[in-house]
Amino acid sequence: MRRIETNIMSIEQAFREQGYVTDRSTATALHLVKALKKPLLVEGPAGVGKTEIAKVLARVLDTRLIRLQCYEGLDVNTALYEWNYQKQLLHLKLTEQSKMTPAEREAEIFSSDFLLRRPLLEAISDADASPVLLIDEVDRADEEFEAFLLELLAEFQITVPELGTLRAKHRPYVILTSNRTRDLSEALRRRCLYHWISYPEPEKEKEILASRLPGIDTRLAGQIVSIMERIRRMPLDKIPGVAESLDWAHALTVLHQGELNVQTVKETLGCIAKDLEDWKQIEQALEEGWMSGNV
Amino acid sequence: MYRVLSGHILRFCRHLRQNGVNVGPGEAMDALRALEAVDMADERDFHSALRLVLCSNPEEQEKFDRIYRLYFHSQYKKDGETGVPLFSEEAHTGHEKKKEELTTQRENGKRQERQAPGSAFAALSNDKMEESKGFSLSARLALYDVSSPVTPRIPQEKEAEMLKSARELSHQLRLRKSRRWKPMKHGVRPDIRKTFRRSVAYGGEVLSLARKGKPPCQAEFVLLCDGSRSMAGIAEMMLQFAWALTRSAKRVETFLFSTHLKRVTGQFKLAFGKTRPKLSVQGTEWGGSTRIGESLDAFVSRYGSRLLNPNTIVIIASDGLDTGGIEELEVAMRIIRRKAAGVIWLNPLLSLPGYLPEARGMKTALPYIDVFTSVDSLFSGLRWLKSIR
Repeated sequence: MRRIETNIMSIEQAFREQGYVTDRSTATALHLVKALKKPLLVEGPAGVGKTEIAKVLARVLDTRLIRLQCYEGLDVNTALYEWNYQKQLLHLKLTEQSKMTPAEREAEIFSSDFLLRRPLLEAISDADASPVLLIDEVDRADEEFEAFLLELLAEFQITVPELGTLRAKHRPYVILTSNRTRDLSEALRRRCLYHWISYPEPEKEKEILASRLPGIDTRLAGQIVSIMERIRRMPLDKIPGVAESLDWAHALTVLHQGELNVQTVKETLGCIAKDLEDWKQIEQALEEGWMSGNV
Repeated sequence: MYRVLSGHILRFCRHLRQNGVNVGPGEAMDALRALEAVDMADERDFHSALRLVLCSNPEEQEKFDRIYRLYFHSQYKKDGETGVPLFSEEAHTGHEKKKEELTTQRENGKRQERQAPGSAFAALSNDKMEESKGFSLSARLALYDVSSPVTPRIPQEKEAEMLKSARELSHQLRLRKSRRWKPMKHGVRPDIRKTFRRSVAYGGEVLSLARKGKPPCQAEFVLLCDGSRSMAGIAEMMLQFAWALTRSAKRVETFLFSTHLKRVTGQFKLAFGKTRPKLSVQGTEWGGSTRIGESLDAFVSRYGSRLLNPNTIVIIASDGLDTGGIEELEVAMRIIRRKAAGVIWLNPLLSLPGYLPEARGMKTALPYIDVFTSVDSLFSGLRWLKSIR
């Protein structure tokens, strides 16, 4: 595992080298994740780079990224561990003629040979280094699952009834992300450092574009940022984030468009608008001369 | 030095707690540990570290920032002791000021600046902040109460009927099946895991098949109660219903509105057992005139993404007599209708003979309503439930 100096400036620098432009408070948050060994809960609108933080952190620390994507109905067996039933059954059949007692046979089939490790167990059983554990979109999981996470996030240990309590040798760096589709419990929030990422300021967004798409024309980047800023002020259902700005910039580069005009924006509107109503609203604004002048 | 700092932090935490930020001793300890890990001489790091540890949602961050400025950037007096500010006003860097200005500009540019529901701080203008310099911190924080608090009464009469009705509503509404597989006696799929676990006792012989299925989702409720003057009497009854529903259903969110919206879910939750909650609201949320459009718009933009989902039933109790603009009402109703499972509008005027929903607000909202019924229907059996099942 690569060691980075544990100060905020160096984290900012290391993230920039990986193409992720952080602000000071994000860097402080990551610094505290390292210093306090506490999980970090990152909230904010979609597409502002919440998931990316964990990915870049893993690259910066040169360690494994273990990702758990949450969804409605996610249960402990999918997230933590599962017994390999087929293998267990086969083993039982193969050893039917052996002289082992039922208790011995049971102990054998519930050993780690038959254990399938899922992301959470994988994250706490790394013997060499602390991995980065990304629990993505935790707000999509059920409340029961959220309650289950509490033990893991507070103690970094997991209890498997057949094997006992497994404690992490190297505590993982845990990043949880949420889009606020529902309120997370107070208990979960209290176990985490809390960081809110909002849409970036224009200057920062320009930096992000330049850093992720090094060949982009400065004027085009400025135009994209300026239009995105105005679009974000519109009462849209799905407000485009930085991910959409990057997609759009990438699309325009591929199409060899060096400058934005009404026609180009209309042709590439699919990169920004992700809802029919929003599409119509932006299109109407364009037709009303909304883009004329200071782009 | 460390003791001085820890004293500051503990006192600061106490102020946060007094102003509704949920900070316990654990967080205070974490705050001190966090400060050890950053460069305290740099105020940006000092501020970020405390904010990361002591806040757990954007609403708390908003309160934190304001209290932080009052605490660490001004002379304050507390319990007869003269305090020295930790940071001078000049130390409040240009960077932060610029950021605040940009944020303000952005907010102004948005559809319309709204007062944060439940946040008394938003009501204080910058001028008042300036004027308040030199007062004690508590005195200055008290300035935020711009209008006198009101305590709406939750009636006791007909409580049993209301509870029955609320229980019926929460138990009978079944919207869709969950995606989660759960062990069920008559489930549609065999539960291999459970079957096998059961068979271990018989040496691997499968004697009976365990099954799993998808249980129905429980409905979640959002109640938006119009507490304006024209709803006098009825609004109290709706509070009684909200209280009864909070006791019966798993997830209930309650909001009051008049000219402003206020979330009172927390106050309902704080009441234990059969104790009725004592609600504390402002005149703009109870007993004022009605701005349904603006209030619903505030609800959608601040809470919509979190509280509206395919399991949500939105119950709006209002007479629809609006003094605000109808454009916002239409947009908000459209969004609510699209995101929620159903919209129920309880209108007390419907029980009056000859009433027609001709009022501007009511007419605008009607196309987006699944069930339009009178408040009295809460006592006379919920036959209309069928139309949202």
